[in-house]
Amino acid sequence: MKGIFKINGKELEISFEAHKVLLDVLRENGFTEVKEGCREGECGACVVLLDGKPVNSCQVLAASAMGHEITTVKGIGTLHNPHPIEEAFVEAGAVQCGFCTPGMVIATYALLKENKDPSDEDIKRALDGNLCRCTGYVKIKKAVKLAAKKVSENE
Amino acid sequence: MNRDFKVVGKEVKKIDALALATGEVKFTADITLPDMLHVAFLYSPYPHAEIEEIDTEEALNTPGVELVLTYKDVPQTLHTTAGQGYPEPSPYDTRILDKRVRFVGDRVAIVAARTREIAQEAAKKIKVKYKPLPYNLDPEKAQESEPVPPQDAYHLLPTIYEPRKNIAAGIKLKFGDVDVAFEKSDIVFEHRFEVQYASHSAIEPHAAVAFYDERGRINIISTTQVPFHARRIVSRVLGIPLKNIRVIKPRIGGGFGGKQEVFLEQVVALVTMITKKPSKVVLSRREVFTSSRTRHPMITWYKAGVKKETGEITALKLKALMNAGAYGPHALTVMANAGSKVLPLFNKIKNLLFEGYTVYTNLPVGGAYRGYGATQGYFGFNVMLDMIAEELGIDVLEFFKKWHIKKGETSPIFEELGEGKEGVAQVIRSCALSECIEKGAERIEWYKKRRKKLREGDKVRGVGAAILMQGSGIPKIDMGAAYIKMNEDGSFNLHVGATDIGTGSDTILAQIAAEEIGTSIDKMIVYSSDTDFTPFDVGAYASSTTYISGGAVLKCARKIKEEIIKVAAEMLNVPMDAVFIENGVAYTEDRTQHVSFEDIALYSMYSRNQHQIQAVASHIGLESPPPFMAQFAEVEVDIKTGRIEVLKFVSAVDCGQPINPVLVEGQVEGATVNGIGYALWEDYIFDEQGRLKNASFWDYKIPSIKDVPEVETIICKTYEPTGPMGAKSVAEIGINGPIPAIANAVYDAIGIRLKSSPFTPEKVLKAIKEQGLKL
Amino acid sequence: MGELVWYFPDSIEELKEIVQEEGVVVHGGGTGLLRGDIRRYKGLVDLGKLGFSYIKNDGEFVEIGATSTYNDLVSFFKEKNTKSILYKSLLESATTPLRNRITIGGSVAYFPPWSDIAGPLLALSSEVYLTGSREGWFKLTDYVQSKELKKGTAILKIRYEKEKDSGYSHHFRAVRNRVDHPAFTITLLMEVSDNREIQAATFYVVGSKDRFKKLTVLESQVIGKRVDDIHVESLSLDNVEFYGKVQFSPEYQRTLFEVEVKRGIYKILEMVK
Repeated sequence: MKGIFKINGKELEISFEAHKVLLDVLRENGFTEVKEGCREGECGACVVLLDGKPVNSCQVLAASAMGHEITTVKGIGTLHNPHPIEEAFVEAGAVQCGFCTPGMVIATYALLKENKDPSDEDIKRALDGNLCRCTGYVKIKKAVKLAAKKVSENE
Repeated sequence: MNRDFKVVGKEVKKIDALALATGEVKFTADITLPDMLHVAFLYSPYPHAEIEEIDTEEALNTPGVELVLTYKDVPQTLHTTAGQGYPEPSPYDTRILDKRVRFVGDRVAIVAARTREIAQEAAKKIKVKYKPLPYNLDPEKAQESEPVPPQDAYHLLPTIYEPRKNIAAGIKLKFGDVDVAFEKSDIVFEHRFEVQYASHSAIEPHAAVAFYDERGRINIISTTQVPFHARRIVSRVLGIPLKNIRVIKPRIGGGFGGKQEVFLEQVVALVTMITKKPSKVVLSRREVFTSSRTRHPMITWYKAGVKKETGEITALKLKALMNAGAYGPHALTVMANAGSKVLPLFNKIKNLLFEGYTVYTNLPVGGAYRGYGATQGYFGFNVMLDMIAEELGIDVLEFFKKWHIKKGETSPIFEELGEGKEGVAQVIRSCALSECIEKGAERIEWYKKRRKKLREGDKVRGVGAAILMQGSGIPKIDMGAAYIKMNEDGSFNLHVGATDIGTGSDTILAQIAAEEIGTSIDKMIVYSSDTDFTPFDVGAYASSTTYISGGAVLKCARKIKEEIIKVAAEMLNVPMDAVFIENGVAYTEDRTQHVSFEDIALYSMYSRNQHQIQAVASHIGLESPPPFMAQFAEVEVDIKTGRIEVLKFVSAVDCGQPINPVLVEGQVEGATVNGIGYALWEDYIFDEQGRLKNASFWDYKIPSIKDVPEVETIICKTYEPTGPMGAKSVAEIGINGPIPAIANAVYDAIGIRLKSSPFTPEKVLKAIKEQGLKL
Repeated sequence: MGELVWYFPDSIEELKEIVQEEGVVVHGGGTGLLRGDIRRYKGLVDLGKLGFSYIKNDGEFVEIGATSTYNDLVSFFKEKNTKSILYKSLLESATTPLRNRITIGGSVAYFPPWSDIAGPLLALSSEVYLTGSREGWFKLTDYVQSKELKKGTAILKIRYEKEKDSGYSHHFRAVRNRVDHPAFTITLLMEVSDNREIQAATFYVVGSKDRFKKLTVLESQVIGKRVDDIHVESLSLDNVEFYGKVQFSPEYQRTLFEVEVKRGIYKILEMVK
């Protein structure tokens, strides 16, 4: 089937098989910043924003996302124009292998949109769907707090 | 020695972090090439069987399928998938595909198709007639069971290898006479401990891509910790010249030992060689669980004899039985490390016996996993020490401090027990373990909380500790090399074989180079792990990168600095020893004249005696100085449900001079949290036929952000004279302590000794029933 | 296997026809469907255009549109009723990105034994509104046990009496770590009068051998009693059996069930006191 996908603010017409999940459609069309870690909705490496809310793109049938706003990590910041959240992850030492980081950044972005000053509990809840095996989450928590500070300073 | 560093020891940002955080980086699975084929496998549903017939016709006729390979179609070279130095201390017992399958999840066939989905679907259409064979899932029954490895399996090294008896490796090591010493001891302790299977669970699944370059050479991009070993193994297994293979390591999404294994590279290379098309394989999470590599389960029997008056352990016997699973990568060395990384910590024991066997079973295959045997060995070791101290009526921390190995001391084990051969004698040149114990105790509030059994309703609190050491690379075996050249603007290319798998080694190696050369980190352009464009390095394992690759970088930096000074001296018209470098500028002794690196580089290239300022160096570790650590757990045990909650976990580490403190903490925290998951619930659950029942993140849980207790890391700095800038390693050690520290904390809380990990609520309740609560 | 057909009906009438076709199922968030091979279906119906993403709280009932997600509900309860048993269970259920995707309708249609909200919905005597081969409100207990009610129908909304969710409650999930799916859950709901008499008690275990079970033996021992007269330790429990699961053995689940049911009741009584 064919459909219009709004990805990172651009409309794209994409042909895809009706049973495909959004993760595959994104990756097959060049959005490889969306990572595949488990395909079972458990690891969060494939998290994107769907109408502003983080979802596991491996658990979203692509057809159901047609016409909705999809944001990958590249829609949040870029190497040359990084988002303060991304800078915070770098500064806090929260990036080790970096495979989970795009998902973490998106989860943080969604959190800070709703909550400028998240508590430890808020952070744990917002990032509970993003697994990381490298950091033990210590620096990730730190990064989210730093990001909150940076984001509010930027406003 | 306390050097005044400018780059080393500073919180330098990880050089690849921003590219990773913004999703700019391409990992192996992200690579797509024109006409690329996707590879899928068919796996054995039997724990042990002979393939009698295999019909691939329907699979081959599936639209989109281009190749189906069975054991009849692939080279039958025996090899080990263990990415170790040559000759590997692991048995050659593996074929790409074999007529016999040895565990549920062993490979039966390879399918290559236009898409991954087609390949996976086609694999299901292969019809196989199996003749089931007797199988065994119990390592304690392995020797009497149907032999698992191939008839012709062999070992390159003259070590114990008896495949017909399912013995994949054996070690016996003896000092003094333990039996006599046990007789003379006042108290004898004897206990059995058991640790379980586990998955590395790097979030990036294993993947590999192969393609031909324009010169007809096979290029492999792979999620590997060992690019150079991968090249060597692929060359041998496929019978193609090494010169015709290039292995490239892109960014890697975590390894933890799971990617120190070469089992995909030869498959994509073969598919590409046959089809002349690029090929790619990406394992599913299920495949990672069942068919990649795991933590080796191990049973240890500790026996200790103690003199009551002095508290001296006069004799210690450690018997280890390790389960290799169906193949033997790292079978010898992981088991050996259960002794060699553990026993020297209490170096004053005069009578010592270490006897270990690794056996084949029809279960998933063990491999390298962070901690590498030490994790398995330290459980029983630290619990025994806790028991002994209790029996002696002394604080276990005092007991630790009195008897642990110290600076200037040695252990005979260093010399006797190496990796597939004898070890290397060494004297400890840096050790802050006592300080680690003291500082850690302070943070966990040991003296306030120990033996208090603080109770609230059904929940009781306790604290426990464990002490540890690891190594820094494999001495006289592991080698790393580096190449540095200077560019016209005074920047440098640093090329290393060392393999950054997310650890930050590219960054710390750049720090070492920048520090030594006398420039800033932003002047270092790092390129690593490409068999064509970087010098050799054994790879990322055995906690070797900082120490060994770092040593190579330091030597190389020294050499290029010499070269820079030589040109500067010529330009400044002074002797070389009258020139010194500071912040990228060469000064004359009296600071009256100077030339910048940029000036020097330009001069060297365009003015006189034109040449490339460059250097190359390699380094082997002559010793393997251990990092030391003390870990502390505070737990709360629910006596009605058996549930353990870790409230706080403190690690105090001596890794020499930390090159990058944030990355050091990151290594310790990551290892610790992985260790806590392993201690509490991570496990492989098999049915009676050896089928893994929890091969998914849905059923196999790794810690989430909600599961992490308060985690604290303390760095107790020392200076290791043999290490680059005084550094030792730090990557593995932190995973070894959670099991014993938590077990000891549970004992402190409720008086129950846990001897089998993971400490599931179920096991804790059972232990409470058997042993009776002591509140 | 033909290619899966997607339907995006604009009206209930259209939906009615489509859901009665053989091999066509409703697509909620997709998370339940994706646990199996999605290609086994002929068609999927997306309810996105029908306006069933809402939560109404204005009358006697709380009424939840079928396409409301778990997190929609979390936001709603956070504002309206943080004591809600449904809220307590939702907070612990799945993870943030899944809560943004799992719909209440999908969850009820699928009703897996690890569902965190199954117990609360049962305890609240929820009803589901079906359209298609059947039309109207049906008891949730009937719906989840009847193949006939599921065939050719789509859930449009779920409701329960607001009053029922205003009492004391407790929710327990048997898990290994905090993002595990539960081996079983316990839901306890009690209404206590001003004179400390237990007027109503609804207890459920979900994930047992019976899939879910109302703990009637236990309920009968507390209903009508005064809070101060209940001795939790001497309450006798219903006979609940469990299958072995990756999390825990059947024996351990039984032990855990016994401990946690009593703890839950004790906690509620403490809250009252």
